[in-house]
Amino acid sequence: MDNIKISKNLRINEEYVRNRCENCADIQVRQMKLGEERKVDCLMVYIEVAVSNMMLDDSAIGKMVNHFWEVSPEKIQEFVADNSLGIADVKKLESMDEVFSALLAGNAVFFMDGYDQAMKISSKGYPGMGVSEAEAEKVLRGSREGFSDSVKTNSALVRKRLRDTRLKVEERQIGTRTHTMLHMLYMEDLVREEFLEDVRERLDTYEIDGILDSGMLEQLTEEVWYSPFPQYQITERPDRAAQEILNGKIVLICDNSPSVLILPSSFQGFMESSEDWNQRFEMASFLRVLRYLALACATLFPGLYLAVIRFHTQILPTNLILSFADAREGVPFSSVAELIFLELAFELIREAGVRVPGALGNAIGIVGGLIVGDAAVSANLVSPIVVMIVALTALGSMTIPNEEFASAFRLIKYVFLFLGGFLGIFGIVLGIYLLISHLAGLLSFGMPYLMPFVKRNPEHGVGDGILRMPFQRRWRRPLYAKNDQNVRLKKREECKRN
Amino acid sequence: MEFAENNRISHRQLYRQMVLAFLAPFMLCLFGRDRILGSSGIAGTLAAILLLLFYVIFLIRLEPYYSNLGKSEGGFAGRVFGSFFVIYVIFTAAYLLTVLMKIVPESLLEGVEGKWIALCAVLVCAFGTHKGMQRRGRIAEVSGGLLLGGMILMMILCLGQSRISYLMEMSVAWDFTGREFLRSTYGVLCAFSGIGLLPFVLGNVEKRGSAGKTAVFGIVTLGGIILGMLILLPAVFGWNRLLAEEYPVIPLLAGADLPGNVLARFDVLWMGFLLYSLLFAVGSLFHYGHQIIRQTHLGTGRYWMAIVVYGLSVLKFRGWGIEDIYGRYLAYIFVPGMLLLQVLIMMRGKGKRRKKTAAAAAGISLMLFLSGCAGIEPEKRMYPLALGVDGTADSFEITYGMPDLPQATGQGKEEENNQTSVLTITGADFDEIEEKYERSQEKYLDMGHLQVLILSDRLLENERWQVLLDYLKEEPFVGENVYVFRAEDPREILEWEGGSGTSVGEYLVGILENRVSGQEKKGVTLREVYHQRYLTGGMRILPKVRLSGTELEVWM
Repeated sequence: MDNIKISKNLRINEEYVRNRCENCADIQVRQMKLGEERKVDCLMVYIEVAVSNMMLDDSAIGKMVNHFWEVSPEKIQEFVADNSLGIADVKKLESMDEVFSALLAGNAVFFMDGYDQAMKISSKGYPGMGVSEAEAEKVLRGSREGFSDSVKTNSALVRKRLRDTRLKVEERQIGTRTHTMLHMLYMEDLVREEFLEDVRERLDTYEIDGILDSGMLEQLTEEVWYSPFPQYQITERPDRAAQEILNGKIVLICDNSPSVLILPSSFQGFMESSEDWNQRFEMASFLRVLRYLALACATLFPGLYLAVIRFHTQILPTNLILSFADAREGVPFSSVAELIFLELAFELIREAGVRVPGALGNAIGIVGGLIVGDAAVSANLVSPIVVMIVALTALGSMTIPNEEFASAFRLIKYVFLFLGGFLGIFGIVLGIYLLISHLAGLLSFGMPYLMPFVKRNPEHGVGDGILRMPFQRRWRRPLYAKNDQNVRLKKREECKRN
Repeated sequence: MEFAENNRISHRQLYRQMVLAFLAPFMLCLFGRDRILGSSGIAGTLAAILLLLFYVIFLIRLEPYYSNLGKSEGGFAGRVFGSFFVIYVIFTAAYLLTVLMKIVPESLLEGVEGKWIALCAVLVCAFGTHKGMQRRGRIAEVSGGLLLGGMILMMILCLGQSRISYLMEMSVAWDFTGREFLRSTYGVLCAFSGIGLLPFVLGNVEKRGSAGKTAVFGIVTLGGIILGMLILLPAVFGWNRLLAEEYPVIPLLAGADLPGNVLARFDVLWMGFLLYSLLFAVGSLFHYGHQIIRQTHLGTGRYWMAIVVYGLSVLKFRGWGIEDIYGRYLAYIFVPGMLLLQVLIMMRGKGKRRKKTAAAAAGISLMLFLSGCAGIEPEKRMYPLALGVDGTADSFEITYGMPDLPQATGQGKEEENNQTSVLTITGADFDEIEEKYERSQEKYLDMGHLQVLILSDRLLENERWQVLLDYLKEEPFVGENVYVFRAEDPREILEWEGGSGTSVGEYLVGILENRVSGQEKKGVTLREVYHQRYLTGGMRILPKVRLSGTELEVWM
């Protein structure tokens, strides 16, 4: 589109607006005459539902219209030019592109005859859900607030926690048709310039018709597209986003998505829960170790089970292997088929539980798990031990705090299942080697994915390992922050001395 | 980017790469029959480590010349030099694959052909080897510590099996000779020949001025482990058995009885550690092979190198494979040749450092799973807990004592009939017995849970037990902690049903082990029987089992 300037002639502006909004029933173009003697022609353009009632005194538009009823025609332009309306959220626009950008963002636009600028008047905006609890990241201790669908609300939720002007919010649009608004949040003095540059560069790399969720943005800009591992950390919690900004990371908020992207991301970051920072360090450390064990369990358990019972029975105590053998008597399928069958049945139950609304989803999970499992054992389709293996694997997978990260391991589990089932321990070792090779090759914005297990901060006091260090011992920021800003905690006496 | 894109590895990554890449090859290839052993071996290793420490200093000084061989040595000479190292890389990778092809089917996966194992390994090891030095550094950093810690822990756990008397055999049987000392020293130096690739790596190490310390630390760590194994192996196996074993490291934990009873055996985990290190070694060879090819302007080794390595490992020319020539190649061609070339380079010009990149990739094919690799389900196996062997001059009789499944697991239903839990097969030799078993029994014979071996008096008297021990040695899954007894008629013992549901195997083990501390009976294990056989050629005095009325008694 050409960037057309707003004309002083209202009719030209109106014609242009009407042409562009042809067949857009939801966009209202209202003519009005304002001023004491109703001599000033004006035009209000807005999207229905997105804009408040113009007659209401408590809305910006209502106040403005009411005010213009009482002003003489000569004074209206002066008022507008000086922005002396006393109304908040009013911004002057000079081109038609700006007009449509403001209009499609859910604001009202006000034109006046004889004046070559329009006014953007902010209103309630598009309808959306308000702030609600983060369903995917529930905590026992900590804030209950979760991100909503509105990018502005989400930025405000972060700003509420980081009341510092060094928190920068860069706004940009992506999608040639959706014009989806993106906010890039970072702490100016903490973030590394090269990260910022890299993010900006990647956002500008592609021109796409539409981005409808942060997930699409993530996949579009990630480095290794074929990897099952998420290369951006995702959160629905403003406190988590704020915490990561304080670590020197960048937060990307995409309009219409409650999932916010944090970058760079790392393996350890996906294993952390927001609650880790609110709990006592002993318990938080214990839970982290437990999560790592759960991760190993979720990935390797079925494969190891198959490797042991099909190839290396000598590992197990005799009574245990005899018990396994007895339990499998009469099962018509091979143990590999049996395990795949039950794993897939469990995936079906999980998927059904997610798709079915509300409480019915929980019921499906319980009914599916209990009844299908029990019936399968009774019908001799599977052995009881396999039900236990699948249940433990599923529990392990659910223990991982990040769903996308857990999903990657859920997929990889099948690879290990085949490798263990057909090549025994040798296959498992091959799989582990391959997995580590892949993870070692992954980078997130230049940072190794396996941080902090590789490239540890040589200085003490970072506390970014598996164990959560006590706060008093965690006085440095991780490597993501600028080198000269790596101290996050110091005693007041030291501050005074410095 | 500051962290990833500078293609540099840290000292920690260099150290762990060294440890991870050398550990399994050393463990598997340095010890055993016709290899480095005894006091000469210990002295030779110490001397070799000392020499290597000086050699590392020399290598660090060589690093600038290696970084661009084309420029420093001229195009042709650079290519010759590069080819010399590439051949070494290919031969070494192929040799390690042959080791893998040999040990995996023998010790872990029965019935799977070695060539499939090698193919899987080549595909996995060649995956992404062209993707830069940092990636290998990270693999090593993440897994190197765990592997080193795990292997040292297992070595420590193995100490419980060692005996001072066995260790003393070494000093009695093995004289220190200058010839053996020199052979051991040169053997260790040849084993460390991979260090010769260090200058190719050093250009990519952060703070390379002090990288020598890290390399030295790596050599000392590996040297320490070699020395530890040189003491541990004879202490566990006894001297004569060690001289007879090709890969003594593999059964090292076969007799381990570890606390906790969570796992009955740990040797599979031990093998897992060895395999991981072996895979890393082969992967590293591919990676550095690519680097050398790029640096010496020989093109790219992306695909052909993996194919050549695999081909060399599986093909034989007139009965000669890479395993037959590799030792000689290393000792007579590569090591002297490398030293000569390095001295020549040192004496000639200078070169500039250049960034290295590599290129190669390979994918895993799921077709491998269709190659006949298939395990056997647990319910389709027979688990003899006790084995009775009787033998005359021209035949053997084996009686397998099986547990009664419903009683053993507590899952039996009332209406189930107790099955016969003893199977007897007679044959001229053990091959014939196995053939008869294959013909007549539906289940796979899993000897991995054997607890007790009962030999007949007649077998012991006519010396036919030697044949039995040879047969058991070939059975990879038989643990060496199996108790060995003698009896007049083993079949009669195994048919005894007075154990109220407990099999004879468990019953006899219970008689030996289920006692409070200080009252345990000292049984004779299969490992001790092997030891005696290798030491004197004779049989140990075995505890006797006999039936006294309805009771089973053990006389020590």
